[in-house]
Amino acid sequence: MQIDPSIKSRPTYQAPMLEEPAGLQLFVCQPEARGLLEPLYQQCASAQAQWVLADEETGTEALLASLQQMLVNVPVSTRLYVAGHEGFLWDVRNLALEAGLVDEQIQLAPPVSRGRRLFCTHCYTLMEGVEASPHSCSGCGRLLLVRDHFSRLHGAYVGVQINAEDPSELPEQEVLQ
Amino acid sequence: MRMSPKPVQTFRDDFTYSNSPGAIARFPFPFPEDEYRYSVNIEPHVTPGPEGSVYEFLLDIDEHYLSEMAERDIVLKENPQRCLAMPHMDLACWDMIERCMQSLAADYPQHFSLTIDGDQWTWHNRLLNIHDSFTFGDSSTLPLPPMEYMGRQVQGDFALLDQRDGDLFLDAGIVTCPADWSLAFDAGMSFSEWHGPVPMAHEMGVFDRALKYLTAIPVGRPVRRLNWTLTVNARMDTSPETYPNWGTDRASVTADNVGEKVHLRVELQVLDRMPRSNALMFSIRTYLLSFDDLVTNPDWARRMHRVLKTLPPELVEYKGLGRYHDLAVEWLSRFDPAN
Amino acid sequence: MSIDSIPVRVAAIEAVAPMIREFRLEAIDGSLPAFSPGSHVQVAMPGEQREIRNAYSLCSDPRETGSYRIAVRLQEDSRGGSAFMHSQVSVGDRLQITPPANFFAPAWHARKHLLIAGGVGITPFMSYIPELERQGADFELHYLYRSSQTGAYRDELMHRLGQAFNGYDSDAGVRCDLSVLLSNREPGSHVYICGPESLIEGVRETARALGWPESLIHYEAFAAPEPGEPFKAKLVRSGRAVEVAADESLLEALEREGIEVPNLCRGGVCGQCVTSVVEGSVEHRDDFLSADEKASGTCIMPCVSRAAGNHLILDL
Repeated sequence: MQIDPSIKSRPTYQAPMLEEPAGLQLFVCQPEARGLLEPLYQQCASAQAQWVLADEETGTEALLASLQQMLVNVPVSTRLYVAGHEGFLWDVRNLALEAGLVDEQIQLAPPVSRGRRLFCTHCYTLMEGVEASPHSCSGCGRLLLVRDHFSRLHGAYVGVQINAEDPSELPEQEVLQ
Repeated sequence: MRMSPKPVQTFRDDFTYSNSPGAIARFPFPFPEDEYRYSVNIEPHVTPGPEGSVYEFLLDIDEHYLSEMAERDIVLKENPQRCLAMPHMDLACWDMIERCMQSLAADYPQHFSLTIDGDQWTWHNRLLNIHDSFTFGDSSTLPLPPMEYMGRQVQGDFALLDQRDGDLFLDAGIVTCPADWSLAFDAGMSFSEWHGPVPMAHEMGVFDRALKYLTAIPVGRPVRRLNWTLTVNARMDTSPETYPNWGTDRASVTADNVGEKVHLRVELQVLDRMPRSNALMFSIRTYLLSFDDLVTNPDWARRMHRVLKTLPPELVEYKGLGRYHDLAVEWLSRFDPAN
Repeated sequence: MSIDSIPVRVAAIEAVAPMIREFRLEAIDGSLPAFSPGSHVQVAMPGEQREIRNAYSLCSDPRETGSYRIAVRLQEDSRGGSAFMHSQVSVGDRLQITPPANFFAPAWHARKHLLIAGGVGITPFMSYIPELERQGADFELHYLYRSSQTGAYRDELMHRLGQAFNGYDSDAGVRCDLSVLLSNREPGSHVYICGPESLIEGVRETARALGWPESLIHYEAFAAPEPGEPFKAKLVRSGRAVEVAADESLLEALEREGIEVPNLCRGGVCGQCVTSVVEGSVEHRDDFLSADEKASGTCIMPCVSRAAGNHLILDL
């Protein structure tokens, strides 16, 4: 089976641009992605610009938890600039949407790695950092074709058993684009 | 011919599902011409349609009603996430209850009745022995969440699309007999996102045109279209979730069993504006017909052959027909000697 | 009117403001269709020279399907519709209306709803408020009016809504400071505006200057067609020619000649009346066609758009 050449649900990413006016400019990133947002942060009036960074020790989950608290009390004109791995970008975006923000005020920088989050369509397990297809599901063990069909809600690509029609087929792994 | 529900048959394991001659006669054969082509083939769903046809009423209840409801129960027990409704879709779910109950009670009074006294509703479904009283709009007065409650009493899959910012979002649904798409994965997607995997049509602008049309559908003027694919065995639940259970079916087709194994699967899709929430109700009513039954109609046999023979390779691939497409074309060719 | 028009009887008429009359419309047989907040109906009025059809927001509780209410402001420069409703319609009269349609529905996922009404623009919010209350939604009403002319329902709303009601009577010198209204709002606040173009523009500009995302701002974009230069429309399929007067729309002129074109909003929003243009340039005034479609010059929305020259040739 071929990997689909162009699937419309697959997001495209552009380097974020500063949007003004904004009551608050939030720069949210994983440590390895800080460089992507640094120039933009420097352009900002300092009073409105704020970093939301992952602590080296507590990691991404703590970042998301503190962001969630922060978004309760931000102005409606807040802008979010997000950088990191693809799954993280959409986690931040979904958390912001839950707080009432809309996509217009959220810019996602191109992911810092090509690792994908994968949703197993058979057992609904989510896997991180998938770089090749097929990928063995960590939940049900099935060999999954990694497709380009993408869910923003899950921040993930869909994985479907590659040899369901003939389980004796064991296709070679290909690195994902 | 109007169809009365018959005793439960199965869509799995021993596949006892069968179509009576009356059900074959009313099967919605989807091809208006010999060559298959993409189009926005949408037309008004004006009811009542021709008497006894699948288009007669808003919701078609046929001889497979009990079987399909039993099948839905199996699927939902196995995986409750085949039904979902986001919190902002509650009013839309009640719209669906109102629309379904009122149409069923008016169109099939022998099976369903509805008594309305202000907000107090009493619903009687004699086919499933359901008799409930509840307060309209108050989900806590129903024995199940509103989408599941109604969805368990109507044939076909249902989705409720929230309309906002000029787009449609897949924010609620009950999907137990899909042609290979997952509600759990596609939940929350916009119109063009959930059609993402469909080949060719995006480039042709089909979805842009369709979206403009669909967002303008007014209350009381539902529209419909037919969609089709092929399914091996009379299996309703061809979902990605259960693909490991049915994928091998596709490899089981041989020159000798095409007629009994391969089924034409037709979806009668209806889009209907919900009056209270402004959501769109998208119902996908699935009909299955074995090739053996299909070729009892010589016009259908001939046309089915021509359509499959000229189907573009992208669509053969997308519809998952790769393993048995050639066998099916070969088997059908005997009914179309001129081609 | 079209096949699915609904005959109604005028059950009551009430002056709800110096320039605004409310009409209660009852179904002649059965009940009326349920509707969503923000819906409107078209009312057909047999005018002296031609039939007039105007769209009016339903201003009753969507749960009430025994009758609908609409409220009509007498327009000084009336094209006939509001004057007809005010002077010619009496209790007991029959009228034809279309089923409800909606281009101004609430954003159900909003965290907070800010309703901004100008004058008779209160009407769609009269259907919003009961539904928002039923859902326990957080909302505020900001109501700008001139008590010498408008201000319908304000006492009732003040009592009903308490703190959520904010009235601004410009005849009493009470102004609404839009930048105060729109400042310090939390994420997920959606703004809805219904009123004169100047109010809509004022809110949009203020919101933009304060950094509000556009998709949080909702407004009822359609209005009565603006007059223009008269022109002639030639119809290739029927071989007929229709003169379009300065004060009527192309759609109205076609209907006057008995040529039915499907339509819902009569305001350049819904896209139902799109018509192919064979020749002639178009002055596009709609919100439906894309920029590319407008530039191509191959179609027109006859409910609001007109010929840019003295004629058009249409595929009708």
